[in-house]
Amino acid sequence: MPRATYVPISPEMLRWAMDEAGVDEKALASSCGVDVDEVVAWLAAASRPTKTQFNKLRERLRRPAAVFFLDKVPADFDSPAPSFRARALQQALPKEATALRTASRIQKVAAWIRRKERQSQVDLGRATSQHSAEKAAREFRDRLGWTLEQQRRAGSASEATRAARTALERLGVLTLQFALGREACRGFSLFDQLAPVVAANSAYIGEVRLYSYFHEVGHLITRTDSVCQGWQNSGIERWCEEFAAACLMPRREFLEAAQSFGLPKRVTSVDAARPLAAYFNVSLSAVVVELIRLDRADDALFGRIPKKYFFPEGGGGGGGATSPEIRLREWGAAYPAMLLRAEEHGYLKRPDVLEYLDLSNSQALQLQQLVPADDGH
Amino acid sequence: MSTQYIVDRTAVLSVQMSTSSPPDVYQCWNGWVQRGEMTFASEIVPLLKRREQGQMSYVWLSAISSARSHTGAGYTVQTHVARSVPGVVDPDVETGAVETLAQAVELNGVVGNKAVVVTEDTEEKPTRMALSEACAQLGIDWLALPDFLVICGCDGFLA
Repeated sequence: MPRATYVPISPEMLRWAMDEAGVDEKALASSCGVDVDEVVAWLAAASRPTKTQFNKLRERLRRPAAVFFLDKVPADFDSPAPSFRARALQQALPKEATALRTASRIQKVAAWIRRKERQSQVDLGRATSQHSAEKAAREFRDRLGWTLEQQRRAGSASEATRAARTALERLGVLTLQFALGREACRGFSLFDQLAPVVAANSAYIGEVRLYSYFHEVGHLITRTDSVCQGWQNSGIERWCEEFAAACLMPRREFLEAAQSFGLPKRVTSVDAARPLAAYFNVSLSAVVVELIRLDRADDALFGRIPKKYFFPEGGGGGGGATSPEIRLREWGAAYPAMLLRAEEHGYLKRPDVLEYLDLSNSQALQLQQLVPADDGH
Repeated sequence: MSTQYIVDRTAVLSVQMSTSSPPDVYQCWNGWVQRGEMTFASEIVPLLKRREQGQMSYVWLSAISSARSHTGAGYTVQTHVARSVPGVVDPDVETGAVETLAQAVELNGVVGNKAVVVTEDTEEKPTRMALSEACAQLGIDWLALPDFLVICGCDGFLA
């Protein structure tokens, strides 16, 4: 019987990779088929994994082999906002942790390309929670060139969401989408002067994703990166909820619509909000937030929105898409276009572009046909 | 002094993407591998398989793999390389860079041997150091693919 090969992994790097993935000793032991004591021994440098255990460990922590051979965490392994990430990742589900890492990497690459192209910083405007959310929303809508007519003209909420993503990308915001599951966050944001990122969870219906994108933009303009769970009733989260609602339903138009639909002065039923949601092509939750903001409903009304409302019936579609189509759906059009442009200008070679797109050469050629003509953002 | 050329993942892939007749180049390379003048690290085989399965680059790599005289360096050398040039380690994606460098370091350690890395990973990039830069830091000779195609008489197939 051949002798086992033991892999000289670095305990510090193992601990780092576990923390980054939100995986504790028990979870890692289970994945590797060993006792918890064995993982503890690896972390204490008292023992080493076999090659088989190492491969399972790498797969669970989703890291290349060479990472575990470093003796300390390189400075440039940290993402832009370590304190946020540390807090977010400790609480994140595994899919959320992976999505955060992917988004952070996309941001890093995009910022590098934009720096090479000498692009100026993305102008989102700036606000704090002391500012009026309504005023901040109006200013942002103008900056984005987003109109109510455009939003209402969309054939569906999904179409409105796609249009919003395109508008945000034109402004310079990378808009991502990840299948994180129903238990995971609605979305998250990562600020950067050159490559700000917003991301939404595709487990939610289009209306909720539309709202989530604007909610996350609220975090960007207040410079408060976040991973956003359910509706938050206080502080900056509340402000971002109101900002998103005001972006999609400006006060004057909202009040006019509420009157025309005969909304009662005090709304106590979620069903009363449905006509407004349909009118604006937004989520019930967005309408309820706005009603609460305008003191036309109590906070408790939000809790009465049935949980099943937020998700598509039957679990949603999306099956059968090709890898290039999945990239476009998840990463938007701006990032792939940026990579292809970088290759054209000689900043990146083809193998690098394939690495960053995570596609084969033939898939990348297909993607090129799908990406809209690039205007340099 | 006997020279061994170590091709990395990007060089193998670039033959498929940027030569006018990839089968002719891979056919030529068969001889180089069989004579022990060319090799590659085993770790790049599954890397290429992941995205290019069924494509010529992977088909060639997996077919010729067993004919190599040297299949790669062990973990001790890989650790030494990773710690000597940590900038070449990508935190998220397997690239085969450390394994390729480790193979070169090990082959260079044999008296009378000279290892030369053949790579198209030669430019600055946002997430890690280029393989060519890591070679320079480790004192390993390297060539870009077009230059190696001249050496092996395949420059007529440069697109």
